[in-house]
Amino acid sequence: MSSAAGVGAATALLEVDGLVRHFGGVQAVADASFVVKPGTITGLIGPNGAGKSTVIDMISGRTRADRGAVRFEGRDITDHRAHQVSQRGIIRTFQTANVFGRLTVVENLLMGATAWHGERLSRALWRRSCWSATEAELVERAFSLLQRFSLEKLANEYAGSLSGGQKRLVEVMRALMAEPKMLLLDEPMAGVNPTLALSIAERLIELRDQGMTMLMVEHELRWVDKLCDPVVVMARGRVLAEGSMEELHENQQVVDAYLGG
Amino acid sequence: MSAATVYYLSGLAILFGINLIAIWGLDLHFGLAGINSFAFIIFQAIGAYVTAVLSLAAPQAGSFESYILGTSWPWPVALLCGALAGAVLAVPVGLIAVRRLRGDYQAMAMLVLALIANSLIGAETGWFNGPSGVEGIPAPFGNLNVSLYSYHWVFLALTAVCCLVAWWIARGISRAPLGRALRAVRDSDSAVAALGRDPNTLRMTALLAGGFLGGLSGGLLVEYVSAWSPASWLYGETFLFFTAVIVGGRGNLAGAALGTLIVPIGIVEVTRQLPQFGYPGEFDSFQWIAIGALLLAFLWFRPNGLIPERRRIFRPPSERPGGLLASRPRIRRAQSP
Repeated sequence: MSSAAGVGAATALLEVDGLVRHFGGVQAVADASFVVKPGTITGLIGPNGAGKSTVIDMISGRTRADRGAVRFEGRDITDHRAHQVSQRGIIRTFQTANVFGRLTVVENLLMGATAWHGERLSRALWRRSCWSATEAELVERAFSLLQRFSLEKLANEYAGSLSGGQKRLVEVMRALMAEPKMLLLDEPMAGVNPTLALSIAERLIELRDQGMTMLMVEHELRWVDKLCDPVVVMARGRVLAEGSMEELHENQQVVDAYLGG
Repeated sequence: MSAATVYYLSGLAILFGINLIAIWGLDLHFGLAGINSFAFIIFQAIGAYVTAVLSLAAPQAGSFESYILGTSWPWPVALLCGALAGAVLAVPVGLIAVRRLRGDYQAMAMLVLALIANSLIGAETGWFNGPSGVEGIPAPFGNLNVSLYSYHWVFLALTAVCCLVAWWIARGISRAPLGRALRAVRDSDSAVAALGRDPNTLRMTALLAGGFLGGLSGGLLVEYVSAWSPASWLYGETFLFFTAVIVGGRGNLAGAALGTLIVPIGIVEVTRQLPQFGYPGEFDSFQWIAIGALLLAFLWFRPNGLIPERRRIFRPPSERPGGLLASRPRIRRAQSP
């Protein structure tokens, strides 16, 4: 499959090239190669245990790859740690919503803003003046995001007290506060009620139309149908096929492994 | 009030201040950054030892004392070095127990560190005079020609100044974006890393600042009581501080102050005035039982403490009257979820 990386290299934003990862005796990812082109929502689907989340973890620097490479904007980021990957502009969300429970929604969003000098010890102690203006700007940006997602009412609630779906939204908004070049979404619709899921989907389409690139793991095929093009199918740690959903429905291997009748 | 009562109360106030500095330091570790700092007492200990050996003169030949340095430095320099030693100690403690360990394992590693440090300092007679410890540490402003009673006021003023410094550090950190980042680390490591911050750097920052306060508290304590030995910093003392933070309310400076008033002052110091009973040491054991029971009661029934952490309220730009002041978050008391 390493040819896929070669073909797309010229236009790809993210290249995943021959990633391998073992956990003890279990081979979670055997050989994963694919590319993500700018401005797309690329889907990553496959049965449970196919290695999708491990791939996301390896791209985002949370898990180290045993072998293979990840390149972002042509730069090798395989050995980057999680915070370094996000500094490059790849922001991820988690399979189970990972909000700061004892921070309010606004504070969660403020944490999304790129790490900045207000978080240095010396500035915190001596130079209030040099962070208060930036802080006010960020608060303003946070509120305009909340407005866009119609969540202003929850602004000052503790994120830990929100529903599962609302936590997801907070996570997505927090990621957007970072002004990322690319989003890694690990099952953004899981456990979200249909109405809220639809609103998340609409936001994602809006973002794509504005030029955002996304790589999205999703189990519910109706969302994959609606949002993702192209789609990468993984099974048993390998990339099985790649293409639009129509193409994949034609592919017997994929139908057998995952899509079913 | 009789002179003796005033003397006693001003002494209590000094001990309150000294404990408060340490408990604010622990609150930076445990309350704000979520580090299970069960080795906190060693920050106070190193501050005390360093301050002591820097202000003492070199041990006399023929005496049974032996300790390092003995430079007879002026007390403010020694005190500052003691506080800095606390901050420096944060580096090895961080490398051992904070970089790789979390939760229960971190707590265990910290506790073990405190035990090892105490045994090591007790056994190694060359560094700080082993189990007997150091004594006769010169008092600050020792050449002032005042009565013992008036001297208490001088030392109280010094304590107040140190408390102000500690307050400035603790409050500066907790209200700045740094404080928010530390509270975020407390909730989720992985999310902090996914947002471009190194959680370890943030944790080390908290450990360093809290270590500085621990060292400052130790230095001040040794200048007040003028002696320091391994028996002064058994690991149990750490639980005293933890109880104060949990009873008062973690993540809240006023809460920590209230906890200091209740636990190390109320339960430990004031009860010394009660008539002793039983065999020697029985009374002390009851003190520890009281502290343990209080800790349990709060963990069960009021885990956020008497004054819980405050919620920071932000107003949307449209609701603000404008101006720089308006961008300040309003702080409201509220229970954590």
